[in-house]
Amino acid sequence: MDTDLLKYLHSDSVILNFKAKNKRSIISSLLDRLIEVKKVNKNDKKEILKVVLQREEMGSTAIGGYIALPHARLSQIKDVVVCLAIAKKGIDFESLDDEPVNVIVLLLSNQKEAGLHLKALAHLAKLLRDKLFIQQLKNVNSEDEAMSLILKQQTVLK
Amino acid sequence: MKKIEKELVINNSQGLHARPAAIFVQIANSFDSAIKIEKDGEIVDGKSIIAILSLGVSKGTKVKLIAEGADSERAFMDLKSFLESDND
Repeated sequence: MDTDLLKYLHSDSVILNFKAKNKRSIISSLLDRLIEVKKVNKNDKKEILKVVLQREEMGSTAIGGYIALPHARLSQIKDVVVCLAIAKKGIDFESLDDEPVNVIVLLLSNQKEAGLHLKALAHLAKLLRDKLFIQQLKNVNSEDEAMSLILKQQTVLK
Repeated sequence: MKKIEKELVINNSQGLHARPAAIFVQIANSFDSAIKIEKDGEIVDGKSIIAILSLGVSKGTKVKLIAEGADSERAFMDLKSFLESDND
């Protein structure tokens, strides 16, 4: 896989000790962070939140294994934008296996980037299907530690 | 145990992204047979959404569908028709 997650995920978009009540507030918090670091325009939040939640309505992106990959393709997004939230204590995301999630990765791609979007999803799936990696990621103590762990995992997979 | 394996071409316009992968797994899980998908020499469990997603299968991609078990024939036919139809 030639996709590099770290090209789109930066330490300013990693949230540790993440807490939220439900799906809507989870996505909303992740979008707030992306707005804060200027990767998403504040005026687009409402529409993006709506589209991501509509996607969730069709079937939860918490596909088991303590992870959720909410995602959408939108005209308001340039290229690919990623935000990572880590919750030591699992959060309810209406997952397919009814388990709470510890790792949430919000993936937003430009409307026209169907190929890149699928590649990014595939890359994320490759990284996150490793249960030991999820355990380690869940227990990091800093954003930089999360970033270097992802870098290490990417290197192993190459 | 009867094993069926054949190459086919994915016809979903957006490829095997999260939603079709979830539906595929749902269909696969309704059979007792072991289901596998092979792409470029990599074989993954056809009953795991994340494993299927990790293949990054786009429209027009050739994959090998493998079904092995007592109900492999029915499983293969159902999954084949799902993969070859455009349900997006």
